[in-house]
Amino acid sequence: MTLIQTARFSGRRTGTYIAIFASTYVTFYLAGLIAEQMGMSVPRLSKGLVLASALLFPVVGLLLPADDSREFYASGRRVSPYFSGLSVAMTAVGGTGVICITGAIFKLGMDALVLPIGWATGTVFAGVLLFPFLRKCGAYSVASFLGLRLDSRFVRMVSAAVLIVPTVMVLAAEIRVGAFVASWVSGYSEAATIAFVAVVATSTVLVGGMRAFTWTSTTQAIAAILAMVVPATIVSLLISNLPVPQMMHGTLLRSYSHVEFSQAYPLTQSGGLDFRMPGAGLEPFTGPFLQSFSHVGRFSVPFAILVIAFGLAGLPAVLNRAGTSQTTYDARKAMGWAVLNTTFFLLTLASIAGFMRCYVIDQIVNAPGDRLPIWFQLLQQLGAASVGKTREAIAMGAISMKRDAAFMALPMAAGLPAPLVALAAAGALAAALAGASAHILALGGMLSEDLLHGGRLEPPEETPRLWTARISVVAAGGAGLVGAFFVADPLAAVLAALALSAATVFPVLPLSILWRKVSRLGAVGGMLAGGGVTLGLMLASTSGLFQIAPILAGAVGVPVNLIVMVLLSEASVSGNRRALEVVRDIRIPGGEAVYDRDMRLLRRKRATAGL
Amino acid sequence: MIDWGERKRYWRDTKWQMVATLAPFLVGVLALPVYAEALNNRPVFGMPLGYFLLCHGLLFIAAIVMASYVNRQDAIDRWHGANEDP
Repeated sequence: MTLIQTARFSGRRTGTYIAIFASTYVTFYLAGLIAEQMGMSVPRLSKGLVLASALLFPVVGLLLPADDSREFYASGRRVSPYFSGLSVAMTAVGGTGVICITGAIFKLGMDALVLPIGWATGTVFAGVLLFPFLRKCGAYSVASFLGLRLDSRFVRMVSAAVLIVPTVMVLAAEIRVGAFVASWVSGYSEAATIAFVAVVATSTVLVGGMRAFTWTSTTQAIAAILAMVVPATIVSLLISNLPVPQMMHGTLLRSYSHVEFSQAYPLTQSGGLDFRMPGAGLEPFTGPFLQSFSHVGRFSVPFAILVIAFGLAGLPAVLNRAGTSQTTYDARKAMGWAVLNTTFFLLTLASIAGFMRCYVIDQIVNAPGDRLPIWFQLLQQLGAASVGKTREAIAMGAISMKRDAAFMALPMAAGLPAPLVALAAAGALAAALAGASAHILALGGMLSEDLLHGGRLEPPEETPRLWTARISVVAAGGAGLVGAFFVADPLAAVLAALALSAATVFPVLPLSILWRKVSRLGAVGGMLAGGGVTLGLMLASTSGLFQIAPILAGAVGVPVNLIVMVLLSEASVSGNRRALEVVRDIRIPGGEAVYDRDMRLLRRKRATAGL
Repeated sequence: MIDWGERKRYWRDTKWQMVATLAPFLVGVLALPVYAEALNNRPVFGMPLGYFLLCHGLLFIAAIVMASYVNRQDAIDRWHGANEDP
């Protein structure tokens, strides 16, 4: 048995396989365009294209089994930086980003830009403060990292238990978004599509774990990029003759701003600490696109951006990718690619939102209520849009649209062929499946590695370890499935989860690297205090005691966590010699990962005992 | 592999690199949204300046900040002999 595995990046032909997938995927949709021209029924064609695309991903996942725990949790530590970064970007943005961030920008305009800014800042924080050090540590999960850093199984189990809550919330939101898209295209009930999305996302990572997720999320990223870029570029070409949607939508928004500012909706300014995002239901437009602070207060903006960034940087599904890079330098480079991909996704989503807003202003506002364009009538039939009064010229404030319809409505509004509308839906579904699979894997890892085996001095043998991991993945998929039925608004669920993640685990992660004196008591006390205060404020707000947005509850929880952690760490004994050795090791790149060294010594010990 | 005596200096430079990467970025991220609307009257590339800075500017800056961090931290690794040969 080899004690140290040193293979450079996985497969020399990886790029070829991915190119084959991409060209097959494109050919698939080109064939759809031909089928449409030959008179095939549009609903049947769209349903077939989207569901067949969704079923392609678990096939890729099932073809990539993992033989040991290193493959299952860290993809063999030989993923190239670009693909690792692409997977991080897909996990960070997910279906919630593709559908809900686009919708929020479409409905609110500049106020909703706190979301992409927070998302981008979160990936920068994760890349600078955490990723290289987590890679050098080499632990398979965030909770395992804390357990190793503080040399405490108790800390490991508590942090896993604490992190389960935000992970399940984000997972449920991703499944819900995927179900919304699948239901939109197929016409099946959301209950059936929730089950479909949960089963597909679980089966993708069931056999191969992180190895399967790495390559499946790459193929899902191709689908999502095509879904974002193709309709937006065509629309940009149609409107401005330039195929740069990221730049052209701003020009268009400026030219339509006089129409928006002449509309009759009240130009309300929100209170300094308000944070109101549009809901998932039919809601009217409430203000011009280029107006700030109508829904997010002036003082809420920095707090919201920071909490979103901290929460994203603390999410286990994002941080678990650190272990897949071969070296610390590769991990840093992977985060460079992740930030580049994430910002490209977010900028393209903002352009889709901007173009869609322009279509609404251009074709619906001031149009006679009984002569609406066909695409808007279709949206009305789907229950995604409505207008207040018919037969009269329609005012902007009288138009109600579903937030989450914006992404898929753009190709319809532009009059693009049905297969391109299906391409957008398939990409959104792929993004939701990627997000769901990442969170299922993270949750399964916490259940298996940190809660089930976390109390043991040594991890079990490879075979039982792999099987408990797979059973935990099924349990995680089941938790997501059940949770999805309780999620009414995926964006609200993700924001609440980010607030909890920020207030519980984020402060302890960078502090445990930067400050040697962090103690077990400080870490546990800080996580429980921050999480407790945030959860308490959320519950008090829900019960009507006072009003505070969940994301701002996180802004209270983060400093509480920090203060409690520092005070308790100062008052108690800091880590033992082993803990100090670990922090000294993880600060310096190069050499074997701390966890890999422990496992190598354990294998040697077991081999010696066997002899 | 890095010399034992070099570790402290390496970690000091790494910490300063983190601060130099995150501090200016954070100032931009937290200050720009507050003043963006006031800048919307001025056009840049045909779009409102405030919107351009918020939507395009900050996302571009995030990508550039991260690329510069990867580059500079690699230089620090090499300077102190902590770089990794795959």
